[in-house]
Amino acid sequence: MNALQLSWRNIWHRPLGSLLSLLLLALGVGIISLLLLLSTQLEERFQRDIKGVDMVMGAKGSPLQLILSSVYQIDAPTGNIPLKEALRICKHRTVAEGIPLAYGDSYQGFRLVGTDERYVKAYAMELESGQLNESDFEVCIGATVAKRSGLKLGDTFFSAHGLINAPEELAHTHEEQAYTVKGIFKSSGSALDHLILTNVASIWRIHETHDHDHGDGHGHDEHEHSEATQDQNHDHGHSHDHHDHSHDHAHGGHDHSHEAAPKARLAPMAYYEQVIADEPDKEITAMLVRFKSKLGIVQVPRIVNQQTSMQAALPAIEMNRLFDRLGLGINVLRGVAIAIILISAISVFISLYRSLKERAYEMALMRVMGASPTQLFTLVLFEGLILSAIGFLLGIVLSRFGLWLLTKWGSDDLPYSLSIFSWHPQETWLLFATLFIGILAALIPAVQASRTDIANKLAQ
Amino acid sequence: MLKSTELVFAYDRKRNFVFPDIYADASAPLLVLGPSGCGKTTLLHLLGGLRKAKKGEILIAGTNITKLSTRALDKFRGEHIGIVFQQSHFIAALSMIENLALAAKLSGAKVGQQQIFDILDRLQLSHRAKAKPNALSQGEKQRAAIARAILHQPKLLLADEPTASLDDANCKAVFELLSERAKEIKAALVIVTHDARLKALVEQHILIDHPSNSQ
Repeated sequence: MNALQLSWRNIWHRPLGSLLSLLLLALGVGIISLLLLLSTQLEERFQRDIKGVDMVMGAKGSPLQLILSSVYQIDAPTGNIPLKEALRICKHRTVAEGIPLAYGDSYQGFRLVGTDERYVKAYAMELESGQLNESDFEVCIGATVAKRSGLKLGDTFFSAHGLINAPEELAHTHEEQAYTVKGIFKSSGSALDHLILTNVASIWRIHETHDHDHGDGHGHDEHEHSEATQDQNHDHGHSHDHHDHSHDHAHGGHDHSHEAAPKARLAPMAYYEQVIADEPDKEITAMLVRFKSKLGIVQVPRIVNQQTSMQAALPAIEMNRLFDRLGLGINVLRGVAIAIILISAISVFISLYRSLKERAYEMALMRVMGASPTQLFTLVLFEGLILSAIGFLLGIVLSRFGLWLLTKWGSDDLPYSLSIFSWHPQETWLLFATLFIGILAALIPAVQASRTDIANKLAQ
Repeated sequence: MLKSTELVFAYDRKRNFVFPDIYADASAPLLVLGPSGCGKTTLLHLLGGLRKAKKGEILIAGTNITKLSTRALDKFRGEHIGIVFQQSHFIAALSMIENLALAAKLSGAKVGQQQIFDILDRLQLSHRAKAKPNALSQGEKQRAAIARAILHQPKLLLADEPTASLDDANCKAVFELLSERAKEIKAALVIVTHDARLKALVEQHILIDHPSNSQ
């Protein structure tokens, strides 16, 4: 029976008081730990996805929405922009590269994104199996897509119109042209795990074909049909700008798009230049821009916003703004958690203080039996220490449980997986702080125990 | 072996207790008698090293404990003195056997689990070994307190009103237990009491009738 064991037994000899202290401690530690994990894991991931994207060009609207939709794949796109205008900006001397993104369709709720191989490279995506998509209607899928949809290499599927997973009877699928899975990416923990990547031409073409099917009754002959097909398209309730435009092209020059497949082996930028040379009205949803020099961040957004129909948004600034706003809420919660921990410290103190009053005779007795004041001091200090250590452990378990609940129930809203078993460096500090608080709460009772006046206590 | 000489204790400047010299050894128990408030318990605390005397010497097994430092006194008390109090208190969180094991550990003596069982057995307490102190009767508690006091084989066994709360039968039993065990481990036994029933059982008496004021 050493001091630690004795402290342990004393703690459980008054289970209710100890339990209250533990609950309060666990709650405080749990909230702080959960906040730490959530805010850093989210921020880390958000920062990681920004990498390589200095600026996003898209249709006018909310800059945050533009960033969320094109960088994080969370929100709906703001609209479409002319490819021609976007390419003109890319010629600015500060621009290193501009990667186009074309949205419009999805499969089982996963976004189909038309882009090119530079996108894969920018995010350092690695293939788990298969190869990169080369021709039209070939796709590479993210790890999460592969896992949840069950798609394998060589599988084919029809994309659904729109970006959300509509109920089957409402969903409009493009059944004219199937996509073939050519490659599956390794999991990267980023938003790209939730994407199906294809080339831009596929997105353009699928909406042309789609258009023709509806226009069949009217024949292929005249340009007037562009109006009719557009109207038909509106009947479906899909009024995305880019669809309308792609329908226009369908009539203007669908020959080109069919020839696009063999030509797709051109370098991406050369290919896009060729496309707009033939069809100046082609549209994309957004363009991710990387600058050669920091000067671009100052100059180019102004040019985009003033001289074009597009808007430019800087991910770093938009995300900082977002986290500043979130930060207020996080700080309030953190304050509440710290208050809970302090209350738990008081609870530990009261619990020890009261039990010590009851145990004063025991303390005197132990002195009689040969215990030194220091031994009694450590005995009580251990009780505070044990309580705070258990409270900390319970709090950590609590925060991991909370995180698990979040990933289990909230993962549909958030295309990120949170790692439950990671240890946040600041949790080490939280441990020390908690133990310190436990010691602090036990200090006064411990000093009192060590000062027990044996004779007076025993004479009572 | 216990010997005290010219022992004086002062609660404050005005009230000084001057105690008669005391001698006791393992051959026979010594009874310290006197009415309440005469300083009997104070004397016991002095002899047990729980209070510091103002003057005088206390020799226990050749050591003058009035000259020891606080820590050395704690250690000496743990090793060589066993005390039985009027109210027997135990660590409430621990079972009887754990209480005894803790006492043995604190005394610094090497006492095995088997020895503890033996003592409990001889005091007819082995069936309560796993019980918490609260579950014991008054008589059982007093026997357990004696077991705890003699476990580490002290040189001096002090008992403060050990029989006050007991009936006649238990009173005799407890006294016999104390004197037998003390003899067995060759400890000097000093019983401080106002219990007249014990007078008939003990030969050596010292009477403290009124505290002398030396100033």
